[in-house]
Amino acid sequence: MEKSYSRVAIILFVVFVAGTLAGQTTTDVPLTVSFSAPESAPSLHEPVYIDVTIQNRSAQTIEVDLGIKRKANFQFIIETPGGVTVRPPRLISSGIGPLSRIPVGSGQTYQQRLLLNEWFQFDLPGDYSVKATLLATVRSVEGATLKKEWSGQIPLWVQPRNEDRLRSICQDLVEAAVNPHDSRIARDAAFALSYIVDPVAVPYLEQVLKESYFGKELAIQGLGRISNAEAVRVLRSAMADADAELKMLIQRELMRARNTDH
Amino acid sequence: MQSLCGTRRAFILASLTTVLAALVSPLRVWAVAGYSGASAGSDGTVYGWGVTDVTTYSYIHTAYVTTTLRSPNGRTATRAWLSARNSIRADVSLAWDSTDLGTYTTTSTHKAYCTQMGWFINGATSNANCNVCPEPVNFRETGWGEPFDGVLQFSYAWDSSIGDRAELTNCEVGEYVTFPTSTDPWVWPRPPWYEESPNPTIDWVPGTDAVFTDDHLTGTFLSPYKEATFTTTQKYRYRCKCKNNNTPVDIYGPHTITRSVTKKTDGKYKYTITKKAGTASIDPLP
Repeated sequence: MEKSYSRVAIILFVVFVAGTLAGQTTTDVPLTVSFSAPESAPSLHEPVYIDVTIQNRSAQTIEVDLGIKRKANFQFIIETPGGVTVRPPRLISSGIGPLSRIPVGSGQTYQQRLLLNEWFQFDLPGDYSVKATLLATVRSVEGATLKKEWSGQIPLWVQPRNEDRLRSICQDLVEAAVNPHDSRIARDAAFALSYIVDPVAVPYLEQVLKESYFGKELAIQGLGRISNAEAVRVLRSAMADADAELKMLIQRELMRARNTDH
Repeated sequence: MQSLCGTRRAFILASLTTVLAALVSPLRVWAVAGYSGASAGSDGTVYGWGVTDVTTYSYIHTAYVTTTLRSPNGRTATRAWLSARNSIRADVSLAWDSTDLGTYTTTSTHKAYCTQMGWFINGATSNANCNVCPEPVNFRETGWGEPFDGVLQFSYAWDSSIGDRAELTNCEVGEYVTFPTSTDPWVWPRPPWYEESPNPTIDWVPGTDAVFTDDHLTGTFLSPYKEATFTTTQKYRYRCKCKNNNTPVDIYGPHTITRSVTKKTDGKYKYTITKKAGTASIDPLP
């Protein structure tokens, strides 16, 4: 346990330094872009977040294009504990999403949290090294544009699976996901929960499917990702009360589960 | 500015004296008219009111009213037993609370006192409801462009029916896209594409965003190319927890999105996508 604490301390220090230095720009674009992990020692299967901070050091507003759905311009290269380098594809897909171009005022800071599990599933415990890159087009108020990339190295120590910790995280996410008053909070929580690809998450996803207004579709997708016998049972039993659209989504996930033959 | 969103429930309470007086002289008929109303202001304040009217031609009457406005979460505002000669109105209101949305109810109790007859006419009530639910309105296209070769990007915006966009916390806005057949997933013509899409494609964003872009990508191309065209049908929708139990409501569309790969006279191929007045292309395909 003592070793764990010292390891966490080292990681936190490295993250701090990386977060401070990583991705600092050259003089041509007065932006500082940094990446950090709010939890640098997650347990296996829990959501892994990357925080992106963009600071405008210039005297004018600069527009930064983060790509489709504010995700497409982020790229990750991940070194696994086994020494394998993985380059997940960028998330570029048709559909609706927030405006990709972010105006960052003079002296202002823009922050965004990314769920790294969207790009990569951490299936093994151990030390990972994540290189995060923002490949952005920036635009000054005068309209001058420049393509630029910023990178940061983020060490992650994925601890062994911890069922109690996973349950606690799932519980927190469920409470937010069934929030009837704020669709953004509910949706973000349901989204993160849907990427906990672990049997522990099934009853929590079931609760979201039953009680949430804004997270049902995401819960269905999450159950589809797990697609063990219990997840399939939950999906099948949800068919009875589902409206026509949810039924279609459930059938889609059941079909996927059948094809992946879990 | 207020908008009436409840239904007034008017009633006529005929008194015993109405009948008796009618027998004596039709001109002396009198009755108690009472009603309630409810509305929501543009800032989200909810108003309720109750009116008792006992105006007659020949008698002196006193009108009484008690009005209570109750929110879905149980907040109340009450004005009890206001009175005045002939008619009286009680106004109540509850401040905007984004966590307290749904049906607000105004309930009023009406009575009247006839000085000549020396008795009260008691006990009648009226009520009115107002569903307070900010919902997306004025959904509109704000532009289109081609940020990358062949990618057609539309921008949309919307407002809130109550207050500003920040009040749309209970709502989501989204798209619903269907493909030429009901197959799910729908496989794009192969070649020239190597792509498939969930069918229907359903997605939502928080209502508080108040803007979004809709990117229509080219799909992955597969050579050797050959000519092909297909059309998808898209509509935009919203849903609010406080309205129809979150059932989607169409807000824009439907319209068609057509993707095609055509062969040119020089033997090369061109990709084109069109949606409404927007178009994007790759000419020639690599």
